[in-house]
Formats: sequence, structure tokens, C-alpha cells
Amino acid sequence: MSEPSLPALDDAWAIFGASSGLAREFARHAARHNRPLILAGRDVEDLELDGRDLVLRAAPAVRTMKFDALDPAAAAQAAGTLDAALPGRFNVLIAFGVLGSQAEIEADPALAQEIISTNAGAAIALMLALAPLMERRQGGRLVVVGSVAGDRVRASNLVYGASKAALAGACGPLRARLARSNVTLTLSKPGPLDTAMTFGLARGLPLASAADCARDLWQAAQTGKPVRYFPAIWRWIMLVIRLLPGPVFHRLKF
Amino acid sequence: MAEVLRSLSGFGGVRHSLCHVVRPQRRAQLLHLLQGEAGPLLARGFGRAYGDAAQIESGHVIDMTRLDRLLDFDAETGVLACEAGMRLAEIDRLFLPRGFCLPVVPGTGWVSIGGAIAADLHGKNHDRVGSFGDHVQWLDLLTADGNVRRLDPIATPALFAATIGGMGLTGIIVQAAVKLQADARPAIAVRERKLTDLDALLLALQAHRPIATYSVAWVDAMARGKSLGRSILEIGEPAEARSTLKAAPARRLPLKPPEFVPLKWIGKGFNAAWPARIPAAGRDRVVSRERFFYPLDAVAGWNRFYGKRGFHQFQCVLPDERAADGLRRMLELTVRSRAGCLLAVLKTLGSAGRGYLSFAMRGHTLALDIPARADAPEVLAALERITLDCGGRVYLAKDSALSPEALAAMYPELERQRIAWAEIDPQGRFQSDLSRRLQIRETAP
Repeated sequence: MSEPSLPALDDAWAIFGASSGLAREFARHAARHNRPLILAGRDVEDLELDGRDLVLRAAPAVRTMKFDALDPAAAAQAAGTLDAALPGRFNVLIAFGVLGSQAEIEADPALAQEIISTNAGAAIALMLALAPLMERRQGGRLVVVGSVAGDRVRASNLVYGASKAALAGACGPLRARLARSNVTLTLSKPGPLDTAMTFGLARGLPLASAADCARDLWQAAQTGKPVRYFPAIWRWIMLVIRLLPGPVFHRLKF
Repeated sequence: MAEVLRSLSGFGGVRHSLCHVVRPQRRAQLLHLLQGEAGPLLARGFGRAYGDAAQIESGHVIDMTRLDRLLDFDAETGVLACEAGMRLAEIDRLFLPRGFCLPVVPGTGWVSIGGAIAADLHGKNHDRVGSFGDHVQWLDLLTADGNVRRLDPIATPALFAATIGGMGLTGIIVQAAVKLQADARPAIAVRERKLTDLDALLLALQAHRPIATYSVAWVDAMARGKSLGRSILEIGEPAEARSTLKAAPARRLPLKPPEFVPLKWIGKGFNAAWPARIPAAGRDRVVSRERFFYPLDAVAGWNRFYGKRGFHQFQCVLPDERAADGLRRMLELTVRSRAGCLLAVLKTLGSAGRGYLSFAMRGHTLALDIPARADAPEVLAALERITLDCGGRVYLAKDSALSPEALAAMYPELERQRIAWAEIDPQGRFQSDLSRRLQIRETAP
């Protein structure tokens, strides 16, 4: 990608899992707001195409980097790269994740490890690796993509829900710690979005647009909202669901 | 990549087919498709083809809408390269502020670049600028052998001509370069005139043809007798926006008319009320490009208006010298048959397209919605006969009823298209319900 001069990267957004539907739309928002971008993911060749798109949409500079969440060295390497490339304040979106099929996981429980490692393990490791960098720069936005599924874990979505619950658990104390250095942490909790992750799941499931979610999340990040449900109605739905007594909740079929 | 069994139909909603649908998010997922799957396949964009052009019963349909990235833009030449899933209205939204726009847009902004090329579509300025394919510099086609080939009119004239207007049947368009029009204006100055009958309309169209940038006539398809062809002619010229012309947010069709209300009543009411907006002397106003080009996009789901059974759209082009006669016969036929046509659209076309199966030829093009009722096949067959009789042709992107014999008679370059297919897709991997219905690849007996 175009090799940017360093000052141009001020207030950049580093996006992890940049090929995901939500991340791609979020990056387009950042580009529209003239922010430099660093796109991180497994398919770097494809991220180069996103890079060309974002430059034409007004991003002043875009770089890509390889990031494989399941590589134990990935978090430290990413932190090193960002530290070198971004001397000023920067922002981070952590958007990678896998859904997995609960039926397949029950047939082969070892699959649970991979899903939880990706969604929770790798994401938390990355947050912890990047936190000191952001603290040193005394500012920036950290945005983490969680899920309404983590608010109360359902049997039909046990592993994914548990991974997002763990991620949400880590966000609380980290948010408090980062706040002392003027860094905000926004946990995004979208309902099902119309992305590659949900493509082909049960029909009739109302899917919200990833572009709308990204726009909403961009605004939430700018004002440092701690938690953002999307669509907003999920906040109230999940409030009710969290209040259901266990014996009632676990008898529900969904 | 997840695959899902879905019932797909064209925009008219007449015929539904169960298809295995995938929606690649990354380029590599698309390129790998041809290695794995066997059986027929086809790319699909936003599903705005009215008939059965973008579906294949029991085959694989590749939803291209997530491969929608801009790739290159040269502000000197105006050439834009982008992925095939990029939406036309999105290109205008992104490039109008830089003074560029697409030279050719159809009646809806919900068309992908790939779909625009595959249908070689036309706009309201065909006399001026030709069809969409005339502005394509090159395209990359993923072919049945799994390779991606760069096609352009100089180096690969035959495969290029087979793909422009080729209805997606030569392969999957991965990316393409289109020359945008410079000096684009954000608005259109529209002059609307009422015309009392077909002769007056044809005269007015003829008079504006050499001078107007955009022209389109909305014909009351229920007017009979002396009023046959009663219409409103819109002439548009690019303009600066007078004030801020915000596109109205898309509204959903508020409610479907209940089935027991005859369409005819609704049509009568509409055709009486709609022209009443315009004073006898006509009127002038400045509207946004969206409003002028995509009036129906403002009502999301308008295609449900005709009810569950859906509707056919018939669009033909008739050579100029036979247009007056042919159009009169067509309008008389639809009025008499009570087919339930409410409104027709009439435009002029300038010259032939670059593709072997390109729709355009110099002439007049008429589009009609025909509700899918018991008499629809009969009406469509009669319209096909008049088209053939006048030496015209039917637009495949809208078609749901043409016969194989008529196709061969209307498209004289079909044989050259078939030669190109023999080279590029000898196994016939790329198919659609339309290609099967029209036996498009079979040589005549």
C-alpha cells in the first residue's frame, strides 16, 4: 500500500479482523472522516483491495498487515508494529471473531477451544498488548466488537456466547484502567448483522445492516460510550432477558 | 463459505427457483468457487432483472454484492475500476462531489456494475451516449476453467462482445473499468409536457431527439380511442442544484392494495391524478439526479404493488420506421386485452450496442408492466409477434416470456455469441433459467 509519511498517520484507526462485514463498513466511515487506516487480518491480499477502496474514499493513507488471531505471537507482534508506525495517538477496532456451529462443536468439543481462543483469548491478549501503547500516548479510542449473545448465554449458542461473555468481562476493568490515561473503551453489542458470519443461518431472523451498525458505532466511539447496543432496542431486550430467573430462561427455546 | 438454499426470483416476482446461494466476502472466496463446485452456476447482483435472468434452478448463484470495492480512479481520464458488486447509485454518490458521474444509468440505482455490463443497459440519454457497455474500457472475467481473463475490445474483441450484454453467461465479471463522464452536475432541469395522443408524443420525441440530453415519456397505458398514447414527456438537462436537493429517504410501499380492488380502478385513479400535477402549458423544475433517474427507488418494495403473483415486464425496441405502427398496435392490444397494464415508458435509442446480444438498436423502446394474470401469456405472445413483425427485439434483462424461435430471429448475432461460448465455456457451466428457457446455447435444428 502507499507508504505514508509518519505525521499523516496521526489519529489513525488500526482495524483487526478488517475483512469482516462490520469492520469493512467501519473502515469506510473512518476513510470518509479522512482518517489513516491500518488493516490487519489473515488475507492480506484481499486487504490490499480494501486499502485501494479506502484511499479512493478519502483515507489519507492505508497500510495492511498480517494478523492471525490464533498465532500466539500475534498480539505482541501487532503491538510492536503499531508502536513503530504510530508515534502519535491512535485508535483500535477489534472486530475478528468466529461463530461456529453449536451442533458441530458438540460433535467435536475440541472446536470450542479454537472459538474461545479466537473470540476471547486472542482479543483479550491484543487488548492487553495494546493498552500500554495507548496509555503512553494519553488518548485514543479502543472499540471492541462483542455481541448480545454474551449478555446471557443460551444453550443453542453456548460456545460463542461464552466467548463473548468473557470478552465483555475483560472490558469492564480494562475500561476503568484506560480511562485514567484518557483512553476510552467502547464495547459494541450488535444483534445479528447481515454479514458473512450470519449468512445462511435461520431465515426469518431479522438481520440489521452492517453499514448502519458501523455508522452508529463510529458515533459511539467518538463520544467514548462504554457500551453500545445495535439496534438500540437490544439494550431493553437484553435487560429483560438478563432479569429472567434461570429456571425460566433455560426452559426457553431459542 | 456458507451456502444456503434460497428461493430466488426476478424483480417482477413471477417465477421462483430454488438455488444454492453463496455470498463471497473476499476475492479469494470467489476465485475458489470454480475449483470446487460442479454443476451450473451464475453471478447475481441486486436482483433487479425483472424476469428469470439471475437465477438458476438447482444451480449455484453467487451473490456478488459484497465484492464492491473501488480499485482505481484516474481523474485525468475519468476511468474508474471497481469490483463487479459495486452499486451504480453508490458510484454517483461517491464521485459527484469530484465532478464525475456515470454516463449511463438505468431506471434504478440498485444495479451492480456486473449486472449493468451483463445487460448492456441503457438510460434516458441513449441517443447521446449509447449503452453502458460503450463506456467499459476492460473487464476481468472469471471463466469456467477457473482463470481470470482481462477482456477489452481491442485484444479480445469476440469474448468482449460476448460478455457485454451476455447476461452473465460467459463467466463471472470480477472487476471492470468504466469511463465516467466529467463535468457532472448534481441536478437535472426537467421540462414536463402533456401530450394528448401517440402522434403528438412521437412528434415531440422526434423534435427533442437531436437536442435533448435526457428524454423519457410516461404513457397512460389505459387511455383508448382518440387518447391512445396520452402521455407526459420529460426532457432533462444537467443543471446546478438550485438549493440543497436532499434525496428523500426511501419510503416503503405503505400498503399493498387489497386483492379485491381491481387494478384497473387503481390505474384509472392514478392516470387521472398523476398528470393533474402538471399545468396544460407544462412545467419546469430542477430535481436531484436520484429523483430524475430513480423515481421508483424512493418507494422501497414498489414491485409488491402487483400482489403475490407478481408481474412480467415487457420491453422491446422497434426500428424508427416501424415504430408508430408497432407502438399503436401494442397499446391498442394492451388496452383491449384488459391485461391490467397501467403505465408504459417510451424512449428513443440511438445506435446498436457493442455486444452480440446487446439490446439497443436505433429505434423506439417501449416498456410495459403486465400483471401475472391468466391472460398474461397470451398478451406477451401477441406483443412478441408485433415486435417480430416490426423487426424489433425484446430486452433480455426484463424478459420472462420470450420463445427460443423469437430470440434467434431478433438477435442476428446469436451465432457469433455461440461460437464465443464454445471457446470460453465449452461445458456450459454458466446457465440461468433464462438461458434454459430460451435454449440460448443450442444451435438451431
